[in-house]
Amino acid sequence: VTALLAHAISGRSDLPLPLPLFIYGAGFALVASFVALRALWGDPHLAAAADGRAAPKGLDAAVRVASVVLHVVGLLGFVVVLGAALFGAADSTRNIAPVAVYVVFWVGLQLLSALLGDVWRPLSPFETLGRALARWLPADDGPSHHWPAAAMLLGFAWLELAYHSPAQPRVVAAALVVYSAVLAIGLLRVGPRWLRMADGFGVLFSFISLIAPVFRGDDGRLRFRVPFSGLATLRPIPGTVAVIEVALGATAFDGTSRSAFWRNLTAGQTGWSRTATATVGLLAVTGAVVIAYELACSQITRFTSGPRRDGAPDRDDDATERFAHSLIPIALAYAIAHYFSAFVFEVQSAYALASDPFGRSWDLFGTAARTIDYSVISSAGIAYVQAGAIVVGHVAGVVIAHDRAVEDLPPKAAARSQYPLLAVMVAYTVAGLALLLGA
Amino acid sequence: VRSFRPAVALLALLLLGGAACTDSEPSPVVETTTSVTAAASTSVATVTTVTRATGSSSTSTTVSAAQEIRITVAGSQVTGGGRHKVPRGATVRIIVTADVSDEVHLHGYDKKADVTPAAPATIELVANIPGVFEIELEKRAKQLAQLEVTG
Repeated sequence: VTALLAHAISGRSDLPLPLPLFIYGAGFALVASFVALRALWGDPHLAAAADGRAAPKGLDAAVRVASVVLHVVGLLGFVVVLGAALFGAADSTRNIAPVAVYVVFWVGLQLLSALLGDVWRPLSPFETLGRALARWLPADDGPSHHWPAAAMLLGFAWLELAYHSPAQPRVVAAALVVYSAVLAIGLLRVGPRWLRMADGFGVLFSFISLIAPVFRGDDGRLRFRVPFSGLATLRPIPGTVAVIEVALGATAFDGTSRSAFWRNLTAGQTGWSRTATATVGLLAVTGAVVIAYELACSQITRFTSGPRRDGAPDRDDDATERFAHSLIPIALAYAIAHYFSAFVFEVQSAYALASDPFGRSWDLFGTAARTIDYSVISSAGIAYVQAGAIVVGHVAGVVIAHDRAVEDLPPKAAARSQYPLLAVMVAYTVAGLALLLGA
Repeated sequence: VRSFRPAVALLALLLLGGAACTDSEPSPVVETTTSVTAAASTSVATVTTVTRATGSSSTSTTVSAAQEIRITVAGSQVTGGGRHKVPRGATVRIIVTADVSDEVHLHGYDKKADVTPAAPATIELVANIPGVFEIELEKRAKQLAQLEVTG
């Protein structure tokens, strides 16, 4: 089984993106970015839109019920998946754990978070545990930075993309045990805030959930807002930028590792030698993504020395943090472009495996005999979703970054200040599409 | 009072872009390539992709071609690896000769055949699912080649 996980399960990958789609996609992203920057967006809009408006009262009851259901589903799902990983069949195609972790959880929750908000919060068995034990837990005195989360995400990316047999149920079991131990021990020792700082998935999902058109206000009530506007409310703390950069870098490496260049480089490598090469690749690609972004941000200050808007404070804070939220739609776009088809197909095998999660020839729901129907989406449909996600993600990123820049700079100076970041985003777009083109 | 001009303009752009994309329907690729990797040319065995012309009896645009993909495994050396492109609807025969006993698995189509040093494995299929599929030695988790079925 290959090192590419989504493929480790089905062994199928997408056709290369057709060239015309590439040209349209890249061209459109460029034009839209320039138009948005130069002419149409003179004032910040997003922060005001992020407050949204309250949903009808009737929905609150539904949300409460859904929340309880999600707590139960999350707990049950975790127990079944951990049980399958530890004790189920050792064959990854007959055990629900690999597809549940890498496809339903990792890809599915990124998509769900972008559509429905922070659904991982009620789903997470550790959040549930924290709530159940709330009165006995210590008052929060743990770290107030996202570095543990970034480290955890990088570890997961390594397992999924670099380690040579990520789909092995016992390997999944080991990962789940380590993940659980880190979260549970931290929760018991320093309090529930540990989960907000160390659960790499939870932190990333909560960032992605800022894209969603629904969220829960400070009073816990459901509110609606313009999609993407919630990103303007992201308040980075140390490590936040690293979490986003790791998500972006990991998916970029996934794209790289599907290219003909990488296939030739690693041809004939198996086992740990393959893991070693892929580890270097993962770190190199993530490093390149990080350097490009940090470099652009360091250039922004060169352009922002001009006069400011009335009353705008002099900024001496870090540009990498001020613009970090603009990378979130791009990270999601990469995830969709790379994993959407695997998700559509593999969810079907999860559906079948739900009837026989441990590989014991059960048929709990009568779906065990289902096979994957590859005709649910055409290869052209997949290509449009891929190119569309990358283009929409980048346009959103450029607009969001511009919106932040006009908060304290006059429109023209703001547009100038965005050239370095725009260059990086265009580079990301072209690289992202090119990787799909040469897949 | 918020101005909705930017939102409307962006929406218009997105719609335009969408329309532009729909025009560029990817043209069906009709190719019958012989993929020979660099390694293949120096090895013992050779790769042959035989294309049997199956006369265009009808006026339809579908091209049907029976293709043979030969892969030889000798030690760690794979001959005839790389990516083999076939058009959708083609009949494909994959023949794997190996110096070990294992099971050849074509993913996606989920077709399997046993191979032994004495008897090569033969998998025959009609390539009706587009995508890129792995051909591997299942027990060794060793990827031999990829089958690309163009959509």
